[in-house]
Amino acid sequence: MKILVILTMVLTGCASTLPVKTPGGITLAQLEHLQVTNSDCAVIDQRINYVENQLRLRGTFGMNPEDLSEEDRRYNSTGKIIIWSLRIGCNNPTRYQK
Amino acid sequence: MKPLLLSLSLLATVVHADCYMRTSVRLTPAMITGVPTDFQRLAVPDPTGSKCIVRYRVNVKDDWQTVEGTGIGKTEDQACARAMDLRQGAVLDDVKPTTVRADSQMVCSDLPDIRVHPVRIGDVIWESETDLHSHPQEQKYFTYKRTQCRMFVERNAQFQNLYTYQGIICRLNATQYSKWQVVDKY
Repeated sequence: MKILVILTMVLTGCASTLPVKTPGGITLAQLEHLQVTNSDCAVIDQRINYVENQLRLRGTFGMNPEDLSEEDRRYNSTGKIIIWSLRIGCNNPTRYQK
Repeated sequence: MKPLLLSLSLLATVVHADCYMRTSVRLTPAMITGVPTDFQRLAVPDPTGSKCIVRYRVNVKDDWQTVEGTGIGKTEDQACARAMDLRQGAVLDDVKPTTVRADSQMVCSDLPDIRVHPVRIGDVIWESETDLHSHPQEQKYFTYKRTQCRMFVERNAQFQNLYTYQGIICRLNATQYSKWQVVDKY
């Protein structure tokens, strides 16, 4: 039993800081609070998959913004900014250097 | 008689050339943002070998301009290389009746007219069909999946509201004549 408790504690400590997934995906407020840093580049695929899945759950993935409601457009653009910040930032480290 | 009229009216809709005023404005590389893009060329035989007319787009102070250059050479490639020299090109301007003068030069061409317009994900477009996403400290192009890409902005009036979208376009191939694909828009 002790081993099981320790294992659970270790796994909890190692778990990512991403919000727990709810059936309809995370809320806009939770999405807006997701922060990406250089350390996320090591797990870029995992981070991008997570945000893409939230957009899929919301039904906005792959949609043009003109076809979305105001609320969905904001949710979608918040997610896309995170995704492209990772894709561009991690692969082009000198992009913001003159 | 009817088929003849029909054929003529169809011909009138198919044959359409866009016309511009060729200005005396010459550009230098220092005046433009980035590099010339969206090259379209038209080469014809010439007594000396080949004559090439190249049309391309340059971004001057966040505004796309069409430039036309002409070159003559022994071969088509030589003529087109000369036509691509920015310092030899003349800026083309939209035809406005108020600016037409006796010494104005109007040029018309069947090459497709390129203008900024709303785009959708998946569209294949010329690079200058979208406005630049310009940030002073940001390099214009970046690499995504080993392809040259850039961000764009689109200002769109819809339901009496002005929306500003941004998106990503990526080059379809590495040639100067390549089109771009809208990879994302949000």
